[in-house]
Amino acid sequence: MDLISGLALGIETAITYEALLFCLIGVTVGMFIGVLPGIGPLAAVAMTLPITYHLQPMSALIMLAGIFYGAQYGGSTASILLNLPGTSTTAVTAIDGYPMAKQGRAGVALFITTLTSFFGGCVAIVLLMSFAPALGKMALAFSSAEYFSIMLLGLIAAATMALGSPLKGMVSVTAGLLLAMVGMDTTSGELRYTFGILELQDGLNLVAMAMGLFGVAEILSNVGKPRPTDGHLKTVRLRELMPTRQDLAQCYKPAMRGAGIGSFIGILPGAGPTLAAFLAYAMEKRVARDPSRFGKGAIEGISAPEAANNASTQAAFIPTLALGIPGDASMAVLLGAMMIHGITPRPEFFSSNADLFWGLVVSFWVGNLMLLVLNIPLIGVWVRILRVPQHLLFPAIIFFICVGVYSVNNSTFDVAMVIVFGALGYVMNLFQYPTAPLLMGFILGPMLEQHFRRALLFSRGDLTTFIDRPISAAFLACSAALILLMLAPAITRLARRRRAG
Amino acid sequence: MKRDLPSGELIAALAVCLFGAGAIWIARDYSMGTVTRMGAGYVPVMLGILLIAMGAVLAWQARAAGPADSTPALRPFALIMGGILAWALIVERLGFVAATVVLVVCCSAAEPRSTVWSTLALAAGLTVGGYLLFVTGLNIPLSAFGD
Repeated sequence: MDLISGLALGIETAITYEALLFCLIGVTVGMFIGVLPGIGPLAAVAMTLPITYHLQPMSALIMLAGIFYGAQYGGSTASILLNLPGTSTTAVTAIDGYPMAKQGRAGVALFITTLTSFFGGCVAIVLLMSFAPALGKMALAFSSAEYFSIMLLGLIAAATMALGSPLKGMVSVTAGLLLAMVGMDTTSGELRYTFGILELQDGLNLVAMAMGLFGVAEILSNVGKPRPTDGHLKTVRLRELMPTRQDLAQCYKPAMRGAGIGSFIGILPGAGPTLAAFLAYAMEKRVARDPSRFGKGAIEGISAPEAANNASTQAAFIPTLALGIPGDASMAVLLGAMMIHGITPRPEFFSSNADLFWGLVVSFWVGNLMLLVLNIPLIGVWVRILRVPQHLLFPAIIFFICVGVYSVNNSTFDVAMVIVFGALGYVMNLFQYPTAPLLMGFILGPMLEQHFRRALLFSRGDLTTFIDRPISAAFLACSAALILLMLAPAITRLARRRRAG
Repeated sequence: MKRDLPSGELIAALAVCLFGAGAIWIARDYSMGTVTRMGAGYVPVMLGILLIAMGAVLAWQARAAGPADSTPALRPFALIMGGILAWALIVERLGFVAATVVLVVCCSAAEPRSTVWSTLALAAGLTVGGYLLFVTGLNIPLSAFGD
């Protein structure tokens, strides 16, 4: 299907009252949750999952996607106004956004953020439209060996590119893979790691795990701590929103660079918006004529990372939809949500579910446009939400987590699992083990094992099958390069010590 | 904290090793199979070995680190976890209302700034609003006061 007829189909599907309504609900709810401190897009999708159960798959998907990128938008608002980033992704925005707010330019910062986010999203959507179906076609020729290698690359990327120690990231991924083994082995039917507990036979519950690791753990790390001063939290008037001509001139190039970086990172499986935002910020700092302005309210410092994180959010749909391999942990939860609705992303997705794909793409445009329109007049509302005190907010979030997790299987066992994963997430945060790779490992675990075993079955146990096939070999080479990069500092240190000794 | 305590880093690294070893130990009963036809235990055992190896490296790196500098806050931790556990235990027996009130009271107690009135108001709001949204609106099979 070519681009034009695809778009026509998409418009037909996405511009209906129902689709528009759920898109609007999605972005508004996403924005609302994203503004709340401490919970990002991942928790937003997981918490609202039960609301979509009774919807048509199309409406559910549009709404969940809306919540997902809506929460991304909302997170930047909290970063700028309160220096309180909801997630690590928007932490970059706070570096220059908060100083701008302190200088009384919060309105301009919010406006520029909205504008560049929209721009970044648009660039990536165009890429998604032109690139994803082609990738899907290419992936039809993939065998188990290729699938195994690309997933391995995704996992290694998720582990080594996470902030902090790459080795700890690898530990997280491996632990996630092991947790994925819980339940019935699909090949042999043997039960693994169930400890005789009936509820574990179908494996651990993804939503319970995500809510524990991200929702509860995040609250546990913030509870009882004083909040940063909210002295700059006055309502922003509409007049203050308008950027000057100079502001606009300063930010369009960074936005373009950011969108490029974000799109590229988004396509890579395993590398998410956080990395995109950090890279875009680092890049701006490097190309700037006067890098000392950064951190003191430089407008480039918010426009590039914002364009990058939204571009990567949208571009991450490319591997997710074409290969069923999520770009990052939030995408993984979204993928889980799709599967609950009976949609299995795979290469044939684009031809067999053409209406769904194009409808979703068009809804991205619509949703982004809605956010642009919504975000600005409603800034006063977001500011008020930011003022909700923690002692009201935290119990409410915990309550929504409990009901949300319960509703997936109507199981109190799953709610109890939230405690286990909340504790795990809390301890991991304490010792700086990244939690997102764990979730990636958990999601990809079953597929990874299956393809690994199948590939070796076909090759009669010959491990060279992974390097005999050129595409698989290329993915493995990238994985090896990432591992070498991770080891590089240790190797140079050893070499230096040997030379010194 | 005393100097001769093992560092938190070291404990974490050893926990990683322990996790891997536990996975292998439990998997000892699973069929291993061959490389061509892997049994249920093959991949878990490989992952367990990997974890032990990485844990060992982390432990080696941690030997220079000092004792843990961040002490976990146990009271809010216990209160919030207790609240979730209480909700899970109560909700199908005594119903949605009791479970939610207990949850809110526990979680509010974890936040020093909450008052009796704010807690009560929040509990009432979440119970009524949550019941209308989830039970009445979304048909989640829970009863208000148990059977």
